[in-house]
Amino acid sequence: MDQDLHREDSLALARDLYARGRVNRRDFLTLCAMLGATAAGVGLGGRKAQAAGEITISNFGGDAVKAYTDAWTAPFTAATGTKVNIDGAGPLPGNIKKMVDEKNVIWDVSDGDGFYGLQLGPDYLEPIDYAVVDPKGYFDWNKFDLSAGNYVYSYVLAYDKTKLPEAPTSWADFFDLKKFPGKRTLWKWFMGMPEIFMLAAGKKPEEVYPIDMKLVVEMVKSLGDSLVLWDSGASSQQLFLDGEVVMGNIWNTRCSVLERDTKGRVAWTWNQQIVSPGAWCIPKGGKNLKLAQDFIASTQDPQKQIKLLEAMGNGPANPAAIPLLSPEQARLNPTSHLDVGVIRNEKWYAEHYDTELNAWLDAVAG
Amino acid sequence: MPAEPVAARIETALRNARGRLDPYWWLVAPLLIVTIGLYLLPLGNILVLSVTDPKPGLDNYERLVTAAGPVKVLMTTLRICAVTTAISIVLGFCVAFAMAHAGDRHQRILLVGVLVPLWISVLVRAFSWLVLLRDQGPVNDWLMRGGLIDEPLALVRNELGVVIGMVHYLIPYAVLPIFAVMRGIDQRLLFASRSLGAGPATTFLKVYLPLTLPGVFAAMVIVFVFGLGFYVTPAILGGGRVVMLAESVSVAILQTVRWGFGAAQSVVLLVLTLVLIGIMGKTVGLKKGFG
Repeated sequence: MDQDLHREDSLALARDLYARGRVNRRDFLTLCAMLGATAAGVGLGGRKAQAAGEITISNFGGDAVKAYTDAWTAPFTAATGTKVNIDGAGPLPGNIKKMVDEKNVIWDVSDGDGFYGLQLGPDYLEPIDYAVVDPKGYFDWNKFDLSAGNYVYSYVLAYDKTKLPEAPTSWADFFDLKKFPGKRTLWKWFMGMPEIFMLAAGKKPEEVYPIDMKLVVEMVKSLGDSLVLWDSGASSQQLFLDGEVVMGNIWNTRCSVLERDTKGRVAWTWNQQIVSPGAWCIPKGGKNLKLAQDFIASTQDPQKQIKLLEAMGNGPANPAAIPLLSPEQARLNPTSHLDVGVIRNEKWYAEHYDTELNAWLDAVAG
Repeated sequence: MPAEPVAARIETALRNARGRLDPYWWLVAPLLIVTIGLYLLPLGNILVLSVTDPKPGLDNYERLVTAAGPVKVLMTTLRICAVTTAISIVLGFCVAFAMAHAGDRHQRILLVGVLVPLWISVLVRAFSWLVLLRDQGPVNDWLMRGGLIDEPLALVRNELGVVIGMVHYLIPYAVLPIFAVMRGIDQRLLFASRSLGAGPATTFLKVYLPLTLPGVFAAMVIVFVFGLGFYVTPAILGGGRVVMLAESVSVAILQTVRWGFGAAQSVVLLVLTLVLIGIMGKTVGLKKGFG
């Protein structure tokens, strides 16, 4: 910490000397290099320099690090001179709480789910500044006081064409063990799962919430040994690749990869998809608040969001991106199929996640 | 002047204390300081957290013993640990016995066989078991092709899978203490028993086995206590359908952000461990158990 302050001070000093003509340009650059800074970072870049500095964003790691770099952080650095680090450690709410409690906030911007804002609240997160971030760049369900959409993903019904008599088309089929025998998989961590129980039980999309947990527990137990749980995107993919399951409720991002890797053996339906808002949030106590808001604003750009869709299958969070999609992009994009989906209710999760996750874990351990 | 004798007495006391303080304590001091600073203080913090978060009181503990889910997690944990310990001890006893009575060269080979797996990460081992035991895995494949079974056996993604993975991990911890005690047994006692007319079975049951018991108890406690804290193996081999205490703590800390509840579960884990070690100290004595 002290060292950082010292370096900043030294740089300020060098900049000052250079401005007054006390040192020449070459010496100044050498000095900067010695202090570990780039020229863009210390004020030779003109207007760019105003936003210069360094921020760290978090995400869930893996391929997402490269995809975020291409879509978001590299363009931001090019435009502003601000270096952006990506920490792929996995921004679970508990990690954010820990950072803020310990007054050691490393993440200036954190990836996460829409409900983080509602779950962690204003003691742990900074409000999104909608004077900097364009409020029109969102759907009405992925814009919150304490978090703002970055992409949209969804839980869809994926199935193995070679193992079923016909393609399942709805969640009712998922629970029909007679017509569609074989193992099926659901997510261990519950979010995006209970909705499909309600739909399968015949509720209309607008009647899905509040979730009837008694019904969920009853129905999940009825699956018995046919139920396998996945606990990471990679494991859901593996279950289909190995042919261990005939269908499952998995992320759309994994479905498109599976379709490609299995040459079409695994397919999915958008019907009754559970649409889920990913969102940025700003842990309270970070030192680069302004840059954090700027960064979030920069990620609203439709073209950048389309780039992420291309790389990972995460749908644009900005409705303005949808008309710009090619037919193939639209085929893979969850936000192009909102008409047949159910929007996950972040408020319900914020209020019920802690108690109902335990009820769920208890039920599946059946 | 009463001050004089008091000062003198204090000085004598100090000198005595210094005299009695074994200089070797200074070698232990850095570790003690680190332990207190990095271990006991956070531990105290957890204790406090468990009765203050989200509000002061024993709510977290109440939930632990009254809500269905947490009670089941605790029961699952104890059940799996008991089964794992029993199997590990029986198998570990056999391996230790073979090791203790093999020739030098064989003993070394066996020891390497026991120790090498300890260097392989728990994650790698869990995934390896998953690959071996899953429905499409080599074990089921082999059994089916051999015509022994028609349908794949459910060997993994259930409690059986967790037990297999944990036993594999814990056997070395069972072997080593038993082996240490077996090696220390005076062979003359066995000769004496034989020469007094006892058969091999009687000698084993009445002389050898009782002499190994301190090692067996020590192994039991070590294996059981280790088992209580298992996280990765149950998470992977249980396929999400077996939730043990450590994972439940992680859920409370990371996902549902109920730190007080997570802390209360940690305290239960700690108390269980201390009680077990206490029982061992009382029954066989820690010294004997650890050679």
